[in-house]
Amino acid sequence: MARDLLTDFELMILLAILRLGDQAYGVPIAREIETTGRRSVILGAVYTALERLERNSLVSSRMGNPSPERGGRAKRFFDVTPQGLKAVKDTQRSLVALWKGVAQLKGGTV
Amino acid sequence: MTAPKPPRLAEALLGRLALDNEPLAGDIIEEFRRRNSRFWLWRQLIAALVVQALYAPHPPVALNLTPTDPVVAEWLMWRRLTSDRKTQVSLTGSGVEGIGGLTMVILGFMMSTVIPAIWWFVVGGIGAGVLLGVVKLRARRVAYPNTERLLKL
Repeated sequence: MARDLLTDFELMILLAILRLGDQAYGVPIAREIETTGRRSVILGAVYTALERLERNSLVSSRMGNPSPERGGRAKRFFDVTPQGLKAVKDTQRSLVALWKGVAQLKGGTV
Repeated sequence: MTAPKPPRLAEALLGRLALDNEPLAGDIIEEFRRRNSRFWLWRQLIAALVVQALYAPHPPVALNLTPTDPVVAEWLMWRRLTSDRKTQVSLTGSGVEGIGGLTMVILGFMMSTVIPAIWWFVVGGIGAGVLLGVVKLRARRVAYPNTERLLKL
């Protein structure tokens, strides 16, 4: 059975894809995580996580056309599947439930 | 202004990476041209090659005997062509024809008497082989988490 909840990196990737819409490929996904998540990202690790998510049917991918600024290499665009969206919602629900009632976290963000 | 060009070695490695993951190689070039940082390029490239080697999904095979050199290829071909001979059962404990248990014993005796120090290399080689096997097995388990369960069925 597949895991029900996502890891933090998988969650960030899925949220980045949802934010980017139909322009979600490796570079913007990594940039989105770097800017909003404030962490440096290894592109190879992003692809490894994306392939794992695709194996679990949480994302789907399609190939784009090769372009000269990429050395003639094609882009691979990613979309979140309905199962992926459900996994994001389930993870959000669990995290929010954990957040509630923690005294140390009251009074805004640190 | 012209776009920055990756060093030759990096280009060659990107070509190698593109064989397994073309979009990743393209992403690294695209982002390198924007950032223009060789440090960033090498960091991403080395990490991508390591990740690709360890975690890329390779279909699990029972015995991966690939004829990588002509001698092995010829030996395998000879075995295939002479398949009409009676099936031989090796009782010597060795899977390689011509090298049986007795040969191994003689080889071990000669090594011990002539150059005993070579045993350190043999033991080191066995240890490194076992370690490599464990690392590969671990990487394969990560890539195929359900394989072990399927094999048990």
